[in-house]
Amino acid sequence: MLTNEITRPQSKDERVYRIVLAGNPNSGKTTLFNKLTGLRYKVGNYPGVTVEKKSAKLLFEDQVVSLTDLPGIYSLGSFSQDEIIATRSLFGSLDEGSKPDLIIAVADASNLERNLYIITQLIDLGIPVILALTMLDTAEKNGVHVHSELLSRELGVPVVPVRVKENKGLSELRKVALKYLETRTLSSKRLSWLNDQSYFDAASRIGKKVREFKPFLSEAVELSIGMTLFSNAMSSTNQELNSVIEDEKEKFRKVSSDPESFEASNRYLWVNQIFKKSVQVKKNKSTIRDLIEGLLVQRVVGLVFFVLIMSLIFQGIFLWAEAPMEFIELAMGWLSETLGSILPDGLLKSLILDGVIAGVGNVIIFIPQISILFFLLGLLEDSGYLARAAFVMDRVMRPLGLQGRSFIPLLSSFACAIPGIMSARTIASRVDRLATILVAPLMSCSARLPVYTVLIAAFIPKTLTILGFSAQGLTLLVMYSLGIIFAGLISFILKKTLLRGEPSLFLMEMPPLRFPVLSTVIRDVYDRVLTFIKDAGTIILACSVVLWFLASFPRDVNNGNLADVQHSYAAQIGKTIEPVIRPIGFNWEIGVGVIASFAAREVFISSLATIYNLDSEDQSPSLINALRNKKNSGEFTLPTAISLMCFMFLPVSVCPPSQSVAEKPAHGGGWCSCLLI
Amino acid sequence: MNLKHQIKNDSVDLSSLHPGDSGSVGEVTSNHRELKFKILSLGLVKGALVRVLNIAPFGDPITIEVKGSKICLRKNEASIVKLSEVNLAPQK
Repeated sequence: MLTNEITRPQSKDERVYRIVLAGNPNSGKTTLFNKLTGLRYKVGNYPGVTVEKKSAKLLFEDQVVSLTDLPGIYSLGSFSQDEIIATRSLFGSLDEGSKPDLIIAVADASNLERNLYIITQLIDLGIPVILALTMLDTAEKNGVHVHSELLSRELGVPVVPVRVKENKGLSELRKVALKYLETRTLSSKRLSWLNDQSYFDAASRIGKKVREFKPFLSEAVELSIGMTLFSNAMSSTNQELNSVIEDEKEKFRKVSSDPESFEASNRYLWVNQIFKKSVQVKKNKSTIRDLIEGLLVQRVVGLVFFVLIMSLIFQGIFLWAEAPMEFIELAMGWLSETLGSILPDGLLKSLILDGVIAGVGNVIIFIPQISILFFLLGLLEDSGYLARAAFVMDRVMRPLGLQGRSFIPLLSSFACAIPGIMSARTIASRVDRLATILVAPLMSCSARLPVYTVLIAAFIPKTLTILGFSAQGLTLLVMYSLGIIFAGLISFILKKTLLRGEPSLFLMEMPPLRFPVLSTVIRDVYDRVLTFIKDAGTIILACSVVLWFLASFPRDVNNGNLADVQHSYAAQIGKTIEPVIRPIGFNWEIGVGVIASFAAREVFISSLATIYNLDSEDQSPSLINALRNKKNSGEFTLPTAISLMCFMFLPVSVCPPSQSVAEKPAHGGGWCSCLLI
Repeated sequence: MNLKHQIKNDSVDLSSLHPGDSGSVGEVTSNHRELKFKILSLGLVKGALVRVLNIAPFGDPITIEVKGSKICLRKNEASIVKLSEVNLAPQK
């Protein structure tokens, strides 16, 4: 979206060169991408934050280039969606024939040996490669010193150390990139690890076969594709190709009993040599970090800590947000009163006060809670704790048909199901991914939080405490838990029925434990809250105005005044469905809100606000007070509130945006119509 | 098992080690193509040194260290990694 905002630069060369950033997950590609482009994509200390490729056009000195940030990969093999996107972009088979002109390989200096594996594969691709070395400060702290000149000599590609935070190495990186775009020099060490002619021939033959079907692929990547297929790192549905692969493997068994591991074993041997020659490691004694690391996953301490953190999040949402929420409420009340005294009576005043301010105001009030939720989740992610939580939770999630890696997408779904579903794409196993996506909307997203908050505040006394915890907070916890329990139940049933059979995979890298970078977290909270406000400003405002119209019209035929809510279109609709919803204790007002909530959950609150504001005598009472009055008059009871909250967490009406997002990672196929059940 | 010692045994796999134990990777065998491939590309190749760091509170999964990086995996995933040499940590 920001791509177009970068000024259309003047280029000396008409061609736009394609540069891709590739490397291991969590190696700092997105941080580097953001720095080079001036954009602000989400970064995090968790493998797989980037699940889609992102591109931007920008100037490297006076040359226009298109820079693409790929999802992190450990090898050229591809099973999960993010891996498929990354490898296909590199092979040039994503948009037919658009192979990158240059690869900026990114390697984490503090974890260099493993990082070098994919780098050597990138070098073999036959595309010019330059290497950006990141995380140098972490490496030095761990006693790891990388000699970049030696590394460059061993790999046959230029190595540029970059310190993104201090702005060091970036102009050097641009300069080297331009040079290699021009000279197109390939590494002299290409395929150095490969010492077996029969393997080379076998992989070449497979690669040639692939190009028969996909002639747009360049000859240069033929060998890499062949090797990937030979190692079983990519599957093909082409029967003819598969029989060629099997034949080649059968022949190769004379050389090695395990053809699939040939590339990995031999490549890692070379990587190990490079590593030994170019990296000095001073073995550190075990540090406090190691101690904490151990405690976080320890049997008792680890579990207690986990429960504490989760309770802190839910209590925090309620307690810390109270003061700013009251402030916003006062401000909205003042605004509505001031405008009320300025504007002349009539249609416009009614629209602004009862439609716009009442509707949007009741959504803006939840910004403090949403900010706190995103902030706490951000801190946990950036510190590396989320991965530990996945590790701790895996065994518990498994009987439910989920896994530890489902934990993060589900936790993110507490904020909003959309980022949750998107992050579920990194779950490699198809069945686990589907199960996670299908139950993610059951988590109480922040859009449902306003509904809960209003109802809880109106019906549960603030002073009531149970075992020292506020009853309001506990009720919220129960609502959230119900969502979790239902999610578990449904995924359990799914795994026993529709998603039966395929084994699931957990296997993941543990990101390092570190102090969270506050500025990153805060910036991320800011971006997300801004998105929320934009949504409140469009969808919710539109809904509020439509509802105001429905609640105010038709005009009274006798005096031309606005209709009494009781006789409005909204009431007519609500009353039509009332017989259906009456048994669960809903009246027509709630019925209107429920219909509106099919568009987005938070609209429920603004629609109730609109209806009740219109219905009441005095100017603009807050919705909570309006509900309290209804409660006192016996029109609206605690059981009604409870059944309403239960209704809200059931995916009877999943918001349409999350359905469209879910369709992609679920590989289509109508899976997401299940979300409608 | 009480003393630090080395054993040579084909049947020992990564899932049977305790925290602190280490070993050298032998064969990696599995019919699960994806699992085998991922294990290999994360560095669990023949001859690689591997050490068990932690076991999760509910007894599974485990964290291991290989090629300088930390990886967590389930015991049934770790069991496809056969060890050619094992170094047991002294039991407390």
